[in-house]
Amino acid sequence: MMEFRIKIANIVVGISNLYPYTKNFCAGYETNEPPDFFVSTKQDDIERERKLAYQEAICEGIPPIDFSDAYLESIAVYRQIAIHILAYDGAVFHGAAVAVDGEAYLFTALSGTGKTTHIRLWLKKFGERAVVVNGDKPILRFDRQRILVCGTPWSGKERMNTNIMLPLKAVCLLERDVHNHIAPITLPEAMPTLFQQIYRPTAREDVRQTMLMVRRLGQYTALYRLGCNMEAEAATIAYEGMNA
Amino acid sequence: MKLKYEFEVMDMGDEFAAVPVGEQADELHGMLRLNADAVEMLELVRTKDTPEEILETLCTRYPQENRDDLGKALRDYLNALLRAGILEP
Repeated sequence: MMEFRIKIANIVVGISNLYPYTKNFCAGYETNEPPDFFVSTKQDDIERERKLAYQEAICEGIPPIDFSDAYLESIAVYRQIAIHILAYDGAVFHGAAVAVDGEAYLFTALSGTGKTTHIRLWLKKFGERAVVVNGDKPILRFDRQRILVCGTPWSGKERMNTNIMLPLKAVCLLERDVHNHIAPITLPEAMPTLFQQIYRPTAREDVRQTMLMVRRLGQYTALYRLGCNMEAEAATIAYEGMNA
Repeated sequence: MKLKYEFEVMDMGDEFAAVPVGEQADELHGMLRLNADAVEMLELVRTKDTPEEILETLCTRYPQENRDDLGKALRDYLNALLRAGILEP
């Protein structure tokens, strides 16, 4: 077993695990501060992740991938963190968060829709004004009447992440389209997607905390639906639509 | 007649959301969008054993409403739950 600590979303997590992969993976987030909570993994957790990955592949109609134990352990660690952070008004969310001039925009869609492609367009358009907070699974935290989006090492296969926390200005449901267009939507309209994309626990109190976060997304951020293609104009339409 | 899942229900502002909880929650990855009437019906479905019991309760609570209309609304609601795989006959 190895032990180390990371600080994400302003929370210190003590991690006790089997393989060095997760520690290496978390480079840039390590700390010596006292942990707010601990997570630990065993071989059983790895086998559970293997089973879940297999089921997910079957559901998506793609061939199952034979992931390494070390990789699956890193997923098990984040799953445990996702449960613990609910008690800190936090939640793990599937989406790509990019910030411009210190304000973050969170794009969410099913895998393969083009979130990463879209935030790359933002990086190209805004240059040094833009930074990717997390390209796949940021943590959201509710703090002093605002939602913060937080960088974490768990950021998809492109590993696009920055160890920062920034206020979330808007959540954007991204869909592929031939033409670029964006419009504000209500929380009820966004709810099915938000509940699909937020990490969903099963214990009642944890579910309640998750629902509170979704409600806060409607209360403290703006919600939009973006239809977009892969042209540079998509970033312009999205940014201007969320800053009109 | 029995709900297949347990739900946590929350007022989300303009609507209510019902999200499955417990061991079977993973089977239903979705959620329900409900108005206040549907939340009341869901609670009745959870606590009553038969459609007849639910209808009696509704008739008692809303004596001004026509029994046939309440019965039709209840049937439509239960059929929607059945179609969604949320209700076991």
